[in-house]
Amino acid sequence: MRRPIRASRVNDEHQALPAELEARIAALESAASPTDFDAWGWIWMVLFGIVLPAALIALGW
Amino acid sequence: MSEPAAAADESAWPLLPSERTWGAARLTLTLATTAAATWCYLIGESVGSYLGFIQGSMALTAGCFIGMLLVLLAAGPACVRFGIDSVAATKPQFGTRGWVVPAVLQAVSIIGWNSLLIIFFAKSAVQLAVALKLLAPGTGGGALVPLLTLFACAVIFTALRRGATGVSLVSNILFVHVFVGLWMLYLIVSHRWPELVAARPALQAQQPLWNYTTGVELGIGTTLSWWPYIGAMIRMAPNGRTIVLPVMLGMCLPVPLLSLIGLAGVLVLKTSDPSQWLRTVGGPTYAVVSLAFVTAANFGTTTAGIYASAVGLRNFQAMQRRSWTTLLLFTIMPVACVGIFIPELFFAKFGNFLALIGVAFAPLCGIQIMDYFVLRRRRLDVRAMYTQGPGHPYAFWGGVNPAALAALAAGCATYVLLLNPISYRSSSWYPHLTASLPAAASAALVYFLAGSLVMRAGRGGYRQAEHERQNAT
Repeated sequence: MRRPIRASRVNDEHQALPAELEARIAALESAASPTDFDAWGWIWMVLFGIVLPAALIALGW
Repeated sequence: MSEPAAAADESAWPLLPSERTWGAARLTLTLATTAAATWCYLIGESVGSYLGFIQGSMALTAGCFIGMLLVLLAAGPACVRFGIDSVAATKPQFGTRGWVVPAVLQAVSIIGWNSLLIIFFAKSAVQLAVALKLLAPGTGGGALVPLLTLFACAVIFTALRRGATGVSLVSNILFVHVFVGLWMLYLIVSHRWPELVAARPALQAQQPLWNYTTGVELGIGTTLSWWPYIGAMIRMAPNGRTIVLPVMLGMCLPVPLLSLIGLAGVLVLKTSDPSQWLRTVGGPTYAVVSLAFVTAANFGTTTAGIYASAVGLRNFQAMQRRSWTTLLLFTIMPVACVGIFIPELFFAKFGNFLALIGVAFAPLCGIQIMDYFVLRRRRLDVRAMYTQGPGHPYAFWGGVNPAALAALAAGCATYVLLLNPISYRSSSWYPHLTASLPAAASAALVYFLAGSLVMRAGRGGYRQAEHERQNAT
């Protein structure tokens, strides 16, 4: 009795994605690979996330 | 907004570039309204217990920016590349079933904080009504707090029926409260500057470094707790360039700035609640302005929180087919129930639990940063985030990545060993290291070591990512 139950569970797990989700993923995959942060993003992150805190900590201490 | 886009921002599915229409200004406005709430006074009060005004403001601001950087590096890349929320962004690390762990952390954290804020909202509204002479002086919360909680939940529900647009709409209306907060800060600083500079913190420890580190740690911990919120907001922006300054200046900066109100208040007037000290400084009119500020601030934050939490819940399969209205009800109901039935009990007891939950966000960030930038070298498979079953890239073992769970446990243990988040008892290393940064670092290290074993076992989609990278070069 175990095998059919297990097989049906596996089938459930492999069920197709909802059509709307599938279309979204296909659209993202077909487009140019999206990037995260550009050079300006990194500059702002270094300035605000490292340089500014380091300066504030040094000044405050 | 067109109909399909309206439906998309109510799901946890990836948003298409055409649906991600929030520019830097709109994102900044929404993030600032989300960040500014009553907790700013509480944070300021905590810092003011250990540090004076100048040192406290420096340490807190520095800590806030450090924490914000960690959150941005952890959740930012996946959320902004694929238009997904914070919870969906954890699937490459925790697996197609293991993401439930960060999802529960998110839900408990947001619902818990929202419950606290909505009770604050109701209490402030009662005080406001008394100050405006709509209620008799001495009127307690009594039945009014539950009624106002219900009213607030109904308004939030109505606003959020429009999805992310509702959050943006509420932010557009309430954004002015951030400037009211800055005006309050100007008032206390300009009126009481000599006393402010001379004031001594009440709970100052003997070791100056411990006090200073605690100020930085409070800042880091504060902005780390934006992890649950950030994804649902930044996914509405089209690219990474658009999000960095809004996050740093809109979501991060208002927190230390408005926390200075609480810091200054507790140092000079021994209370962080501006509605109490503004009465002393400027009479009842100022108190009314302050209460209106508190009321508006908490309302905006709760709206954004409920939205982020609802999108997070959407990742659960059982919630995917539910209507947005049902999902909102699922998210708001716990908040409403707490505010109606057990406001005082929750107010008194739940803060410690939220402090414990907050410990997990530093390790979570460490895991995500290590996975994305080092192990996967910025390669993510958006399809794998939504497909289940053995053999899929993010299936690991039974949908769970044991490396992520081990790293999360190691990070939490590191934090608690360095600093007890409730009693504030600390180890001798804490003043030199903080607690959040070593917690993030240890989680990242454990994830790197255990993740290397996962890679060797051919699980987690790391090899596919490596092949893709090699093909691309």
